[in-house]
Amino acid sequence: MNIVYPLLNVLIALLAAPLMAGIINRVKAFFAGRKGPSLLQLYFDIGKLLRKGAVYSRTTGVFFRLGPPVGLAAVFMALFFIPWGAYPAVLFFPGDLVLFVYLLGTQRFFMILAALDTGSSFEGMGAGRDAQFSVLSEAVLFLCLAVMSAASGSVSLNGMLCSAGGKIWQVSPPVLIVVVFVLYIILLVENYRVPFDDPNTHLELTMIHEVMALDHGGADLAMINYASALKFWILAALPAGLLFPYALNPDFPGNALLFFGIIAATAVLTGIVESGMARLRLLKVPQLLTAAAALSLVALIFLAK
Amino acid sequence: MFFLLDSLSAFFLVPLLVLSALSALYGWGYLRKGKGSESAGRQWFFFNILVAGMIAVLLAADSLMFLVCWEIMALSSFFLVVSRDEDKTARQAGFIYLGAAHIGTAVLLLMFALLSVPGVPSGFWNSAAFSASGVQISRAFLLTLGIFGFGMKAGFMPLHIWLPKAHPAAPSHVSALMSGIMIKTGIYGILRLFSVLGGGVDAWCGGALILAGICSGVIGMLLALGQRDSKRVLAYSSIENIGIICMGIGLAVYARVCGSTLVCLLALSGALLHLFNHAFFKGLLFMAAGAAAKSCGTRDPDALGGCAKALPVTSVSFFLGSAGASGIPLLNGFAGKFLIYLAAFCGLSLKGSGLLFPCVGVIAGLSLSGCLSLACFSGLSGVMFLGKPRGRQDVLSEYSTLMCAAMIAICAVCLFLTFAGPLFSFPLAGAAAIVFQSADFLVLPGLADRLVPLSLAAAAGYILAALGIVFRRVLLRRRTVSAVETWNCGYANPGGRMQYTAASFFYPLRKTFTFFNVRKNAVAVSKTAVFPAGYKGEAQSVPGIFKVFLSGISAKLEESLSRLRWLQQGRLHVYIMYIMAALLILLLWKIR
Repeated sequence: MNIVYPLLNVLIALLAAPLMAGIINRVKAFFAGRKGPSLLQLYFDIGKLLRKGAVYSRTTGVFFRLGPPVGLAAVFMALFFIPWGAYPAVLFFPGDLVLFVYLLGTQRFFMILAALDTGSSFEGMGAGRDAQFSVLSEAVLFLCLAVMSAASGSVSLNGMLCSAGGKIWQVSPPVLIVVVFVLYIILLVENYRVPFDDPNTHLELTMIHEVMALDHGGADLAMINYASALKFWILAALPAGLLFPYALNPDFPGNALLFFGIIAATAVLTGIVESGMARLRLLKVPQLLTAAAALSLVALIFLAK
Repeated sequence: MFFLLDSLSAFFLVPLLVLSALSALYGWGYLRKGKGSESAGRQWFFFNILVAGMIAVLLAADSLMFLVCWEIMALSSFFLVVSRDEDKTARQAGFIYLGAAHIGTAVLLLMFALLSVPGVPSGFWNSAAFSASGVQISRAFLLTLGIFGFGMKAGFMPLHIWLPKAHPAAPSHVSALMSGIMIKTGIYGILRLFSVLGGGVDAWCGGALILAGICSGVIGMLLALGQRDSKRVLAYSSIENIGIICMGIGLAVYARVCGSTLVCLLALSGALLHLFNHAFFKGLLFMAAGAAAKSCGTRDPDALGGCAKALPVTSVSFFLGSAGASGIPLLNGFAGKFLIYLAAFCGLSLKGSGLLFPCVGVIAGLSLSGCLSLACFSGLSGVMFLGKPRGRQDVLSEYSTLMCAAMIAICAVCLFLTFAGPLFSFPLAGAAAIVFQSADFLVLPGLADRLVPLSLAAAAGYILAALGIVFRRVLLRRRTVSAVETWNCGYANPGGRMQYTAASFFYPLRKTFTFFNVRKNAVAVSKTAVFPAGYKGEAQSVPGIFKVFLSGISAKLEESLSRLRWLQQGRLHVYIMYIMAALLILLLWKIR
């Protein structure tokens, strides 16, 4: 298989990922009756941040400075394991899905350390909640991957989403619809979206992601924002890979565009969800995630039948 | 022939020898300046005996030799646990450890008695000669005894009670050795038992091991979250890692019964590789925690903080160990877990193999315990070493150069192991072939192929992160970089004690899993004649689930057994009469 197309897809992801944040914000602005920021706002923000100097807290040390680059490196690596519609992933090997999830964990590990390095109780609070939610969401993600593995008979993301060529849907469509739904919940919680976290609240005691980035600025903040945009793209690519209409001609040149269209649609959906509901009380979040875990277990039991 | 070296014992011997040499180096610094230096001779004596005992346990070729060495190992580690015998908690921990170790040995004694072969007084242990001798015994009974007896040493969840008490009580280099290697001799025992039984195993045994592994992995980590003693957190994390190893072995057994050699090899290799890596990162963590405690004078993470700048070697060691324990792919804790995951996913993808439920159990258990350990170790290391000091720690420095040297050496070993995964493919296959007495594992290709991507990924991760750092440095080259106070909502003078503590960091997680983790507050007031003289408060995490069952059972047991208390007179001549009566009964029984 030609390596150019997969690499081209990674390149498009790297360029287009910040656009999704713009789409979400535009959709939210539409529902609120506002004009809203430009679709390219995150590009402008990142560009501006990269041109700035840096301000570091006196309390911080090496780990505060390690967090953003290591986090970005981890998310960047995870990008290479995702197949893009009809095109395979750049890299794949048996068990790459485990490395994929643990790379996301690596980013979290370093972000938590960076947050604790500031010595601020605000950041500690966000880090503690991030740790709490991630325990449940990553376990649920593994269960989803288990369902996909059992349905497709493959042990790599590429085999589950791409090379099976849509045959995965012949196993049990209801099971896969449940999996897509659970993957979408994971997308919301891992990207700190409503109903789990509200990206608009900047200085409230309930926030998670924003507070962990509170003391970062300049190039560090640019890296964190860019890594978040990439992470949204990556986690949207999992349900998008399942939903990709493989019945189409595999040589159809619009395949790549179609795939990116599904990811953009995920961003639109996220904007609608955020406009339509408030964030959950923090105590309710584990219950919702446990329900998601139960759903994926039910899906597995259906498969076993 | 008393001793025998094969690829299974060799696989355990390598980490034992490396880690005990480095522990000794660390212990040299740890004991030299200590206040209790008069007991250093005693400590070295038992340390050397312990190391020799463990080596002999791994090499023993017959039952008698194994049991004697097993007992030497248990007793010498007991004396090391109580090395601070002026401390009441250390004495109590030692007593519980001694009791637990002997219950385990008693069960093993029974197992070895059943394993005996007529004409061979000392029995077979280190070879397949037993299964060849044609003695018929119930395999299920033997396996049950073995899992219970060896599980006591390994610290499987309901049998773990001694572990979180004994490990913090021992000096840090001994805890490193106990947690890194000694508890693994329990795992060795179970694997050797499979080998002695000729590789014949049953599905129930795999299921039981997976269940024990999930319990140890998840509940062990949940209990670690509530502890206020860094070494006790590490002890609970050892239970978690034993759980991971146990899940891998259980899955291997199950896959063996179901006839999937590849899944079996992957799971067993994963378990063994994790065992090897855990020895080093957990040893490193215990040493770093001990060094921090020596420098700062406390093991309570909530009293520490901000010592990364004053204790560079200790903090970097603790962070590397934490990264290993969290299983992030940049360090050596990942490879073993990866292989077990891979085995479970391979088992899932095989249609109709009957492996679906064990595999789902392993995936769920591994992911939950893995995420919990990531949360636990990122929080613990962050609270202990980052931020501002919480107490008075004005003049901190590294306690001893020798300790630093030992920790740096183990850091280097951990980094080497991160990239050395593929080198393990042959030793792992050899050990698996011994465990299940089958040469299939040696011809099965692919173990190295599965580990190469991990080494490459770790290398890519380091390079990319370095590129990111260089990129930022280039950007900031001609710009102003200023230093200010951390932003605290406009408050200009934030103190160290305003920071988030470990207790508050883990509160949301503990709250989510209240059922397994009950916080018990105990206040002990010591009274003089009229007025209270002293007051001691203590908060402990106890497993709610065990509290309900165990305290109920033990209360019933105590009530029924207390009726027999009149037998215990406390008078010597009554006891002599008991002995006489017992002998008489035995005599009459023989004459009959």
